[in-house]
Amino acid sequence: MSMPYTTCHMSISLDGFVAGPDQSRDDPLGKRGIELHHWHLGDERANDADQTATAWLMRPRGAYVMGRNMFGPIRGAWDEDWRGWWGPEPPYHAPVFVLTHHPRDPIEMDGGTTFHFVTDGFGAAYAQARRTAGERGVDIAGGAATVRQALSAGVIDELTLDLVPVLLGSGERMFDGAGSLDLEPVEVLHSPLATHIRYRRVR
Amino acid sequence: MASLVLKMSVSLDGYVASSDGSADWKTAGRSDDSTRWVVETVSNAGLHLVGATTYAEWAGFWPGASGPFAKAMNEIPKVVFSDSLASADWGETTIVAGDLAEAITRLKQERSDGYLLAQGHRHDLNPGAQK
Repeated sequence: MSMPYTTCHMSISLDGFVAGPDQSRDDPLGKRGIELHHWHLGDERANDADQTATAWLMRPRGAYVMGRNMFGPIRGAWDEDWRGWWGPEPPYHAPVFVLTHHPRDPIEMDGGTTFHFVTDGFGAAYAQARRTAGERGVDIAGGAATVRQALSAGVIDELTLDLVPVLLGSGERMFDGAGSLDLEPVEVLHSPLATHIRYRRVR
Repeated sequence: MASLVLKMSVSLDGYVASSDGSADWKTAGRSDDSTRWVVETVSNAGLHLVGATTYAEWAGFWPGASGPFAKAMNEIPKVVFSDSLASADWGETTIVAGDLAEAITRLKQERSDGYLLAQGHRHDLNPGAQK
């Protein structure tokens, strides 16, 4: 199968949360949110399934669309020192279009990642990402609100979920208000840490 | 000791029943192998555990039903959890009142192995959709 054009890969708890509550600078994934990510963060129970899913997660893409709340813990006007969570060389290696209500000049990072700040909505950010990515494809990086907008807009060709057997009880829900989906599972892998499901859009 | 298995359909956004009671979504994605799995899971249970409302629906539906589930649904012994039900005439049925957790613990301990099956079921669903 050819590479789908627009992808999205999210880890989600059994009760439907993609991040815990109370996200902050000290706790970027929210309370217990880290529990959604042990499968790709060195847990010794990880197996070949987790390795394969990690390879899906790390596939090079032409451009990314990301929400403001994923880019950083700051709400409202920018703290100009903030350059993302990922250090001097973020793992994207491509332009990242960050949705925000607060304009800001682009930030060029090491390794090919440039953060561009888009103030006129998801549709505009996605259009810019497409133009920039060309045929290399776009990934919707997250978080919950941005993925919800991408689902509502119907632009996701492949959605990968890592369904993690924990109950977070509260946090960020992704599907509420996303409308209807037209997806079918094309691959399912599992480990003790997660069940990885790749869904493709039904044409 | 037997284990307790819950088999339940759940949507990606975490719902187990639609607000209008329709159940098409549960069967829409069903394939031959998933149907086989459900038939096996239902058929290999040592005991089916239900509430009184589900029991009444099943008792009105399964005795004359056909299809891959009918044999298991009619022949496997059932336990109905109810404090009000006085009699249960369909198949081999036991009525259990009182504390649910205590009752399930006892039912597990009465068996050396196998499993008790609770099929996730909302009483407002049309039982025909479970065929």
